[in-house]
Amino acid sequence: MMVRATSQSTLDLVTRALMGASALVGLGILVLSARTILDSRATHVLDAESRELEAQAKKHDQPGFQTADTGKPLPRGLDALRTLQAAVTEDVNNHGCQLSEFKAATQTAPYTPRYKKTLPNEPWSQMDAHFTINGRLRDVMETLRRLNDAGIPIEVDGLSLTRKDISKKDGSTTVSAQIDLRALAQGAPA
Amino acid sequence: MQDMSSHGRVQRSGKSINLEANILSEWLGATAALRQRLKLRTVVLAAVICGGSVALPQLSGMSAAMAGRAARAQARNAQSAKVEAELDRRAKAEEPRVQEARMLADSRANLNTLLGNITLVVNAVPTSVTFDTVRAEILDAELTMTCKSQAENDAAGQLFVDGASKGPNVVYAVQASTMKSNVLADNGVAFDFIKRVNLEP
Repeated sequence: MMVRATSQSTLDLVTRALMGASALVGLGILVLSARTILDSRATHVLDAESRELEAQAKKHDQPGFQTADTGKPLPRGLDALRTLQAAVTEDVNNHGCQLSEFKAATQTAPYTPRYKKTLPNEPWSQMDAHFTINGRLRDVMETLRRLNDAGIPIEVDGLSLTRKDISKKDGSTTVSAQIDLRALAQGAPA
Repeated sequence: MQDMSSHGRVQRSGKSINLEANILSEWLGATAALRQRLKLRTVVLAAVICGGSVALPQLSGMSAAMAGRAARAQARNAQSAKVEAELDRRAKAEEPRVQEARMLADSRANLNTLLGNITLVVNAVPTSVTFDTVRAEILDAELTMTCKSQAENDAAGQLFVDGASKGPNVVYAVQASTMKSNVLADNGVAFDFIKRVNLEP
């Protein structure tokens, strides 16, 4: 009877020890599984963030973010008109035309686009200018095209070509061109 | 009849119950069942421990790998966020320049559109027609061109109108008025041509 009782208590002890060990193993499995699942989810979230950040970085590299090709900021306020006048004078001379008048405003006003029906989001100001050039039709048109290279944003409001003469030598037409335009500069009017 | 002697004593029965033996047998049976259950439980627990011991290192490895992956992704994101912040800062600093560039590009496109439309009208003038004035005005995203011309005859005038009416986004192009004029020829005509072009179709 004594031997049997000892054997039973040993078995009970072993069983208890095994149960403890089993509980520890189970707890370990539970903890590690939970950690793995949480880390896996975190990795997925971080991967998604990575993709978003990469997309944003690509967006910054798009051509829409390129700046003006001149490398220098554009003139502001009435300086824009001075730059425009200098460019027009140079172009007129280069193309054998005559600049008979150049009138420029002395005040700036809020920009109102004429080529679009919508206003820009950012504040811009405009300054009126008017000039007249005389010369052969082709030279006058070429001079007007060169306004693109003046480096000043402009909007032509009106252009009037009046025939002055037709050359008997080469049949070319001499015209007088009157241009009404607005030079644009960034920022609200002063 | 009662089982008793003539002296009145009850006669002892020959049947007897061995209580000690029964209790021992019952105890033995219960112990055996308990031992069986204990053995089974021990085997199951041992199997769980063995299985767990095999699974734990693998699970631990998986967990470590996943934690490493998460840590690497976090570090990469931190780096990307830093780069993104720098790009944002630069983009904000360059925003005025970007707007200037956009406005300059719009300005060039608008001037090219205007001069292109005027050139189209001027080039449509045939040799038997001369123009006196060509006036172009822009308002509310519409370009209106008015051309005063002289023609040697009606047919030449119509030829000019047909040629000048061409072009993209034309809202209308009409010969607004015609009158007799002997500037170019005896049966010549003077006429006004009006053309309207939509600049924001």
